[in-house]
Amino acid sequence: MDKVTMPSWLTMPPNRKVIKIGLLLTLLFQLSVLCVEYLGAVLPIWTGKEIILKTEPVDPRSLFRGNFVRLNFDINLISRIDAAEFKRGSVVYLVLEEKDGLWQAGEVSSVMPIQGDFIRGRVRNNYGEMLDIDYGIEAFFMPKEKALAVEKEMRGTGTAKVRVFISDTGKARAVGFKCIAKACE
Amino acid sequence: MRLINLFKKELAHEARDWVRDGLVSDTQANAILVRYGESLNEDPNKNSFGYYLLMSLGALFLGLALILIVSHNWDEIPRIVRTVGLLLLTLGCNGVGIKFFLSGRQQAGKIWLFFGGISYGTSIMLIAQIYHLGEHFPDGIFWWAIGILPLVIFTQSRLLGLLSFTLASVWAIVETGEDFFPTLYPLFAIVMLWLTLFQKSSRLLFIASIAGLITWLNIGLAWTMGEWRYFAPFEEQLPFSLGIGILLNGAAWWLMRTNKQDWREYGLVTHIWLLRASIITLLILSFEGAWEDYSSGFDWLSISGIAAVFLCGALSWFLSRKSGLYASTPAIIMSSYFGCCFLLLTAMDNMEFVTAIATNLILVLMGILLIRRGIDQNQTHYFYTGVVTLLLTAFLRYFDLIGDYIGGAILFMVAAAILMAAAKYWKYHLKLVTETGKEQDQESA
Repeated sequence: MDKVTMPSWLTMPPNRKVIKIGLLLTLLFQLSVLCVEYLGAVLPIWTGKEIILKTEPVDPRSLFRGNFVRLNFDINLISRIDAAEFKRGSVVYLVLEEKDGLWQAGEVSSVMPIQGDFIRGRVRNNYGEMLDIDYGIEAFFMPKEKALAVEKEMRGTGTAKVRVFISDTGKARAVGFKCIAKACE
Repeated sequence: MRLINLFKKELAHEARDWVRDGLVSDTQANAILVRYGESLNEDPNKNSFGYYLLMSLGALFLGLALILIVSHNWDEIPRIVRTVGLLLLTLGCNGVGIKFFLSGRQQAGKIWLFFGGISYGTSIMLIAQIYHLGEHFPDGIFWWAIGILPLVIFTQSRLLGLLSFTLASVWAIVETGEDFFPTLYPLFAIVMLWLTLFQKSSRLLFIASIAGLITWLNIGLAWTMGEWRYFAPFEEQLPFSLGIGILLNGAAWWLMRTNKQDWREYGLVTHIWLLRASIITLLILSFEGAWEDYSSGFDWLSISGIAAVFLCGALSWFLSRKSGLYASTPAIIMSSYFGCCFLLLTAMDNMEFVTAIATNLILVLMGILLIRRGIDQNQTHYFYTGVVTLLLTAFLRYFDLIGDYIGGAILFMVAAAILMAAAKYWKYHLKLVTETGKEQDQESA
């Protein structure tokens, strides 16, 4: 039989004082995670500018968060000749230009623009000359009945306009539908 | 180490019946049970464990109910009320858990912390739901898992360990599914290994951590080949994975020789699962098509893959050599067989036929060794595993012929010759043992 001896710091359980401090710090850590998530969610709404984006919603279900409407924005797919140069997962900024009350895609850059309206996103994929970008506003959570009602209303026209807030750094939050389907015409 | 170690609780139960029926004395029964790290005395924690288990399951069900209630999306209730409500629930449950744990009511404390952990995760999801956060949703699961991980360290709770590791594994799966690499996954596995090796006994968490680490290593190889930007699985991963499996088997035998009862059990469980995994792998590789993806031609990747198989085989032999021939022989056989097969495929074209035949013969050899081991060590598990291996091989080859009918028949004849030769050798070996025994008896008389 091989005798195994281990240093005591591996086998000894932590003492009571360490446990007490550790447990309290863990609780503090959990609350910090929730507060950072909360502030990250509300700051663009509190401090940002409202814009309107065109989208085509579909209705799936998240395992943890319930039903949501998946929003496929026009600005999710951007045509670029040098699309392959943008790494997957990298941060990009899309300049937004207003036309007839709708904000549309302008230039894409990996550097934050100094002026004008812009939205911050991450490159999800690049297909040939197309960039697929996520802005963190693609999921819109609703009760099941409302999500299905939106889906029903969308049948035929397939488009909607969504109210989005963008902060100074380009971080975006969707807050609601401005209009759905025929109401947008 | 014998399989009976995995049933020591049942053995203790039986021993109590033997003492009650007067078959053995208390001292004798205890002497038997000490060999397996058990004793005649009723485990004082047995009943409280039942209570703890049911309460834990109850907390889990409550947690699932909470997630579903939140998922319903009560948008008629103001956002702030919903957010503050769940934050207070998280704070409250964890606070009560910490208070109970520190005041000596550790089991109750762990159950409250377990429910607090679920409540914490639900809060993450609720905030994401209320504010329509669609950004890379696996991050939410990661922050949930990592928020519970320190609790595992400070409470040494297997229940919290299971929750944290399950969440970490879900995170690793969805993160990989989203084409990102779960870099920090080993952190969770290492904490679970520390918990199971040095603090508490849990075969489930130990095996899950090992399996998780091997899987992570494999997807890490694919991620490395994709230049840390995307997954690029490659054929040479197969020899690397097989090498790790062979090495792990050596480590399992080393664990079975240690002076710690828990470690010996971990070694045995790891060995049994590796044995099952190796039979399934060999059955898959017994098909010619399974080898076709492996590319021919030498390059640094194929050479390092083959070298890894031989190196892991040597290390496995080194770790298992003191445990006897049944432990060390498979390390040599398997690494030589896999190494030679990959070498053949790399050096020459159209060798899949040869490697498939070699795999079928290795399956026959494995079946024979398992039957022999089962009879030698009086362990039915190995005996029947050997029989099933041989029958499955015959079944697969009967329906999926290698070559044509004649080729299949030749393979069956070779397998039959090996089986019969093994039987003859066994008979000869038994005769030798009997004669030697008689001679020794005569000499002593």
